[in-house]
Amino acid sequence: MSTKSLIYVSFLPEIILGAFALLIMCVDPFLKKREKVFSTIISIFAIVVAFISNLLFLSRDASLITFNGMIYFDFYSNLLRGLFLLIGFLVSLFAFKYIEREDLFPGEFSSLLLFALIGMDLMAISANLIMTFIGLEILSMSTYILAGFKRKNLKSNESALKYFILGGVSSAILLYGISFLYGFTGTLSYRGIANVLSKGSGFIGSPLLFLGMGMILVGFGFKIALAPFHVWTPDVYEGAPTVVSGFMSVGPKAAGYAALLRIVFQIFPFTLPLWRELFVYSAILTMLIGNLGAIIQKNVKRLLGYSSIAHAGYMLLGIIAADVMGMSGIIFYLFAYLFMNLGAFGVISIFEGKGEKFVTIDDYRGIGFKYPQLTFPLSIFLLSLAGIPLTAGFVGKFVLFGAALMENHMGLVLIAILASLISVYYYLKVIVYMFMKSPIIEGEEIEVRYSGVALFSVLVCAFFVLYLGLFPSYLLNLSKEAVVFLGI
Amino acid sequence: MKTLLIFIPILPLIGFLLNGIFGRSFPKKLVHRIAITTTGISFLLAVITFFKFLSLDVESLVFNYFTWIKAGDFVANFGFLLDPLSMVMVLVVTGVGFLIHVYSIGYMWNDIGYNRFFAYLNLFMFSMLILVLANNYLLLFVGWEGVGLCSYLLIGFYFHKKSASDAGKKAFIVNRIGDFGFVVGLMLIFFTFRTIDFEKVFSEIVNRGYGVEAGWGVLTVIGVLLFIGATGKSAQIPLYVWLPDAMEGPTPVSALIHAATMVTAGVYMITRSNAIYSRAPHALFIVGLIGSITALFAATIGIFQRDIKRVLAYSTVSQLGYMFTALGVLAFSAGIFHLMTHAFFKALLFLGSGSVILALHHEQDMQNMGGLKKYLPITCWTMWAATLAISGIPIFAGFFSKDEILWRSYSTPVKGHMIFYILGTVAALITALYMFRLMFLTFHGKTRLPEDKLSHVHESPKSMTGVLVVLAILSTIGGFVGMPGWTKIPNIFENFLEPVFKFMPHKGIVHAVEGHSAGNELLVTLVSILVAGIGALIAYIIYLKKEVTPEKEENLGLIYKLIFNKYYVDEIYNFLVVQPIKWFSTNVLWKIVDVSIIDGIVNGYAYLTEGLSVGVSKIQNGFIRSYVGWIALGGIGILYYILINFIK
Repeated sequence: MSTKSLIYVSFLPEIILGAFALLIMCVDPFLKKREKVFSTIISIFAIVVAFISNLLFLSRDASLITFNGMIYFDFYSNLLRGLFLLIGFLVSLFAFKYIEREDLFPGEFSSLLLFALIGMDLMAISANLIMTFIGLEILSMSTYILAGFKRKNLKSNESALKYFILGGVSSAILLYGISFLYGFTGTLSYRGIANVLSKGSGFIGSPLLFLGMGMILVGFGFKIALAPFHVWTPDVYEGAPTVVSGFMSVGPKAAGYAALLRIVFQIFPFTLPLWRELFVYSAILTMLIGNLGAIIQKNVKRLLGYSSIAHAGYMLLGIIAADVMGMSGIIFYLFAYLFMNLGAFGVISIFEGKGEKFVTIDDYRGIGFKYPQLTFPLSIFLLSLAGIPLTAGFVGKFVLFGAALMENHMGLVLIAILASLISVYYYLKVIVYMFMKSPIIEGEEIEVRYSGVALFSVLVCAFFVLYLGLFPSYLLNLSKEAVVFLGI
Repeated sequence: MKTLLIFIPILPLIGFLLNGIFGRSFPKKLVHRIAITTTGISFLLAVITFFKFLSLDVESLVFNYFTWIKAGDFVANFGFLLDPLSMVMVLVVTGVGFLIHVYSIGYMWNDIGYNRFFAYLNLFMFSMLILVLANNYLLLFVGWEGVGLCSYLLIGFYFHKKSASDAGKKAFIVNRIGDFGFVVGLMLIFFTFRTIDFEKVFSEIVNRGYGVEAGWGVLTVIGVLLFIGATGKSAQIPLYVWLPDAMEGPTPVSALIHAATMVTAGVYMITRSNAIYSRAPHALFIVGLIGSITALFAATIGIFQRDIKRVLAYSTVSQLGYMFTALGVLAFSAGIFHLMTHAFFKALLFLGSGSVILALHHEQDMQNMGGLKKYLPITCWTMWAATLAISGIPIFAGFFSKDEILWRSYSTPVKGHMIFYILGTVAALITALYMFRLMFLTFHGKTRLPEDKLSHVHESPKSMTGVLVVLAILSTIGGFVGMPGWTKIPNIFENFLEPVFKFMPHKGIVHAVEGHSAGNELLVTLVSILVAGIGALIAYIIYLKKEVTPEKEENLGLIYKLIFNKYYVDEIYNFLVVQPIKWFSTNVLWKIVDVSIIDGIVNGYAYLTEGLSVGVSKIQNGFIRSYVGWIALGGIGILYYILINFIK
């Protein structure tokens, strides 16, 4: 393969997504109201095509830098891209009927989702800090709009505005940090910075360099929702349209981790001891705040908002361990988290009904055996989030905690175990309300309507949660293969 | 055999799936046919496996079905370990489980949620079988959590009763504490040995030459942590409080989960880990001490309880204490032996009480019973068999197992063994006392039931009494497999279990039994028979001759009050643990998190509404600013940290 064609091959899925996103924007205005579904179908088609092209051009052996040093073409990029496309696929399926029910605009939604996916991809495959930043901004801009997608809804507006303002602040800090790094090393490419840093020991002593690193950490901490940069999460998730909340809880988080792993291990591997302690404090804070905050929540979306903070904290244990097991644990957990959290949000988006009326735990009373096709999968998702064995969440947690333990972080692991034991309480509470409480007025359970597409995607998520819980080895191996390219 | 074995747990799982998903639309008969066929076949398979295993004449078999988790150098297989210990457990679980399934048809027939009940029960069977068959600690934990989950669901089965859902909640919270110990212990095993396979961990212990630890070595710490897990699941002091409340669940559940199988998981787990415990005398001492104190303590509470199921609940706690006492003196096989006989007679007692409760239309207070022998003859006589067994009357199953435990605690010179022996013997007296009291108050003497109610009392259907009879036979003859040493008849049970203990240190803490003659053993046996007789006699005089009723017991005053109220342990826990946590959550979590953040949001909406009408600028003046403040604060924290470290 010539170098030139390689450039396009390495970037093909993004080109496809972009082309289709533009196509949807052009076609959508000409569609009649009843034909609007067509744009959603195009976007699903685009994601599938991108996924296939990603599968066709795998780079399992070598790590190439293409696009004038902007993009990594390696298996890490392939695997993470696959993860993002899966997220996009499932979100589109959940959105299929949701958009119609809530009377939103499918065209805009689909194209924004595709743009967000491009941004996520760029974050994971970028080999240059500017590219990373551009990816982050494409993702952020799309999600700001998606969060406020219910234009007439006050909560949705509030959510978008908060996310926008806070996101803007954190982006600014991130960019400032990047400029520090540039000022010191004169380059923005990962490899370039790493080279300079490894040669000139004089640079390493400079406090300004570390200031730059710290600011980059703040920027990503915000995207991933690590404490103390998590404050926006519950409000934004609660206010945003449920399907979008689901997307935000997995998408940007996964992209943030994807980029953070590259930056930490490809630019700053030698400063890890310094970072590590910061990560330890942040992980402890994140896990405790997420889980303690979730206990008292009555609103299910808000509950999952807090829980998503906690999960970001668990994944941090992988970075702290900083070995192959920990890294591959993070990637495995991202997959597991994608299925269980997106699945849970998917079921919630079905239960809430038109206008998102039923979103408190009390609304879930007594529906357990009335809609087993939905409540059983939801129970599986929640048990997996809680880390109950035979689910993907358990395996993920076990690998992450095990990795941290092997690196002698006994105290941290103890806190992590304690935190996840606390979490069992509030996840199980939802299950208990569904199966063991009768409705406040006897016989008045909520009425649930769902489409075949939504049910199908819920079942797909449930299947993978169980499948990865029983047979995680294949994915764990793939993750291991991918993280090798980070040069650990 | 590999395929055969996997079907033992899979069949109940299939039953669960069928009844759980489609059960609502199934007719009742189909529901119980599915549940019973699956568990029945699974029991048959267990029997076939047992004979195959005997014919193979091997110590243990490991079947790895697939690699479950592989990360770094860590490997966990989804595999089963078949050895005498897991064989005994599988037979008990499937056998007793099958009988209780059959019994449930009659008992639950008129209950709402018939399919729900059988679905949960089958799910429980699946989890329990995974627990006992697992070949590594992680898979054991899978079952451990699974049975816990089913237990909460079944305790809260009558969820419209507040007491039932409270009991479920209590069981759940108490077990979290236990689980914490267990998980940390598991992590420590993994950390120390880099593997979690039973056989690999144990051979690693042998290969690395771990001797008996004089102080607090790593094995002792692991032992104590695992035991914390066991105190939660097997209801020992201080975590026993959930079990008596668990009686809010349907009676077959009390029999299966909260008497015969799940609560013995801790005993099984420690026996499985005998290679660890036999090298950790301190951990062993804690196990024995907690066990024997629990045995006595819970037995005394049983004396004055009026609710027939509560007496049995405390009795279960007490009997579990006996099993842990056995483990504490290295008599692992005696502990498992008692586990087995206890499964027979305690399941029988619960099912018998269920039959009484059903006949009296959900009356559980013994004050309103008496003289039921005439009306419920089969229930009465089968329960007598169980009563004699649990009291340790010769020939009945419990006699052999309890006697073995007492003899071993008398003769094995480990730390504190005489304390265990004395506590155990006193507990034996009280056991006989409260059990005979229960029988006299329920079935004998004059009836205290009003005439109009009495006419409705009738014996339970055949599906229920049949099960009682089968269990009565087992409670009577089940002990013959473990003859005491002085009879010179070989102890089949102990010999069968022998290979399980191959990893124990050869020059262990002690070599038991040596130096004690058969005469001594006979003496210990006679003492325990005598003690049981005294207990029975006291009960006879008080409750049959003097016709004391539960109401008259109140005249005892202070002692009665203290014991009837279970030594106020619940109240003490409430004061020491629950109230402080509540205080913390209302005053700290609620005031800070809820009021300032949640109400902040409510106010935020107010600002927002106002803001939209006045101008967007107001929103920024609302509380996003404080959010930005948080981020800035965090950023400053990070930078500060980096600079401090840099200067260092």
